[in-house]
Amino acid sequence: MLIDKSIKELSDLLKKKEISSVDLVKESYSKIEKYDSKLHSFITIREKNESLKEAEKKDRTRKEDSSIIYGLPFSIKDAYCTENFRTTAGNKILDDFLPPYSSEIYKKIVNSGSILVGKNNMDAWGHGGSTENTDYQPAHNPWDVERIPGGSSGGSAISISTRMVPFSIGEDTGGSIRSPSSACNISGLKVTYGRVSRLGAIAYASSLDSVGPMAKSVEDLSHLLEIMAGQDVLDSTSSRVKVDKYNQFLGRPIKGKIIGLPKEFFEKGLDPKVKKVIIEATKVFEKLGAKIQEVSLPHFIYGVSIYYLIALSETSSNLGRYDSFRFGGERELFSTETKKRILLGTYALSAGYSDKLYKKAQKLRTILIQEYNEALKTCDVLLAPVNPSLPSKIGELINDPLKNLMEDLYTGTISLVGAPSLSIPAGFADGLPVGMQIVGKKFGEGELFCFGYLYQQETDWHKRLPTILKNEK
Amino acid sequence: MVKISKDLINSLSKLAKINLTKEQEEKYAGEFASVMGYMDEIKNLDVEDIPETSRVSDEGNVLREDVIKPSLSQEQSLKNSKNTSNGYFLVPQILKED
Repeated sequence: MLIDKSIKELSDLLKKKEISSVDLVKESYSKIEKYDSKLHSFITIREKNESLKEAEKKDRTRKEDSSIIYGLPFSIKDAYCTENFRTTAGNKILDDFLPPYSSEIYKKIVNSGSILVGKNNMDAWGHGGSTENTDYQPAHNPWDVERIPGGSSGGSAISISTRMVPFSIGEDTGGSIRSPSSACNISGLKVTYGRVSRLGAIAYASSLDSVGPMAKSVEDLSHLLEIMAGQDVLDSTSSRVKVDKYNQFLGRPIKGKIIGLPKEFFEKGLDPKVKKVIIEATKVFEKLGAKIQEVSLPHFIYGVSIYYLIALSETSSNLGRYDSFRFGGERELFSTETKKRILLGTYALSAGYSDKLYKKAQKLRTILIQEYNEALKTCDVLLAPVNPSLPSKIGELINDPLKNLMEDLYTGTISLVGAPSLSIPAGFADGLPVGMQIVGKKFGEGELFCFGYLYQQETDWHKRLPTILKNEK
Repeated sequence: MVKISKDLINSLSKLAKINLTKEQEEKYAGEFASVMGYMDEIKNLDVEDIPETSRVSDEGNVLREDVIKPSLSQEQSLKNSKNTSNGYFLVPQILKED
């Protein structure tokens, strides 16, 4: 199984001509053909012959200094515009939408030589944490097919977990990369707001949306971010802060560094089984010489309310443009969950309520940012669970509106401050993966990689293959 | 417990231009009550002198020269619309002749 190897290993083998891009693309499609009908990782799969032809070309044109992802197959969440290639955002309104231009992130990855194999399944418009709220088929977790894979970038996480692709591009508004990474036992990064261009990304909530990489390991993520990050003159929120050489952070010691555990993230609402795994993970960091210290973020317990008031207000505004005149089908086609989110957002913004709801949430967002900044003065990174509970059975969340919201408690709050957060496998409970997030200072992705990489040298959680693959090697 | 009437749901659906079925009206009235009831937790928090945060980017205003560059053609811009005429988007009539 070639795609089980790291991006660096694959790149070296390709350059030494020991393997070819054609081998990788064939393996990718054979996995998709074998598992996708059970798991629904993809909404649209690219014509195999097209991908193979492109792979042949990459094999002919590869040079010694080609990008580390040159000739690797990849997938991308269906939230990103791909020119003349169907883009649905998981919703039937865009069922036949052929974007007239490509998202900046798709262009960057393709210009570095990677080969698209398909567009991943997602909760429609990013509305959900389970990949059940898709107008296509609900996705299944490869570790237990009766359970959700997390979401909304669930399709991307499945395609990496089952080794259909070496990496995928996800999107995270309130946890949409971190939650499925945790549920499917892969590594995913929510970048600092503004680190990667959002041009051509179909918006959920514009002050929160971020574009990030998903892969098997922290090492792979560090290579990907270096390709993805940087200012885009067509996205005025993309940052001019210099892009680091991220892989230089790998292997740096963390001796003497301080990890803060926000106590509000370990109180009621957290499944004791998840808590146990996270506490065990802190011991690995202590062994590596880091100090663990409790910190407090008192207003973060209101995070879900603040996050949803802001995100839903923004989505009700963003989705106003889908009027079926310029593109897309009738507004009747919005799913029940999406209609609910639009109406809640409309409520929070409507006359008489906006001061009490939307504006109040924006003020509370300021308090969260202040508390986070204070906490980061006393420690180098924060460590917390990603999801408060283990992946639930399909149907459980979508039918329980409050529980559905509470799933975002630890992730949505971090999104509100715009901080980067690395989600990596931390262990298992009841045979299901549990992820932790390492949260850092804005634009401190390198520091997160430093912690995450050392942890993955000490543990092998991230190397474990899902149950559905147990007969493969 | 926050009470949400079906009238409120209906007026929101008009504002958002979304038609609802009878079942959706019922379902949303119930679900809104539980979600808004939960969000009531922020009601008593004091935020009097706190400024609002609408963006977390530190960039401020980003300006560039307004230079004309190649952009989408008319054909590309119209191709996803179901209803066009002579190079225009066709929309339903909203003003009626007397």
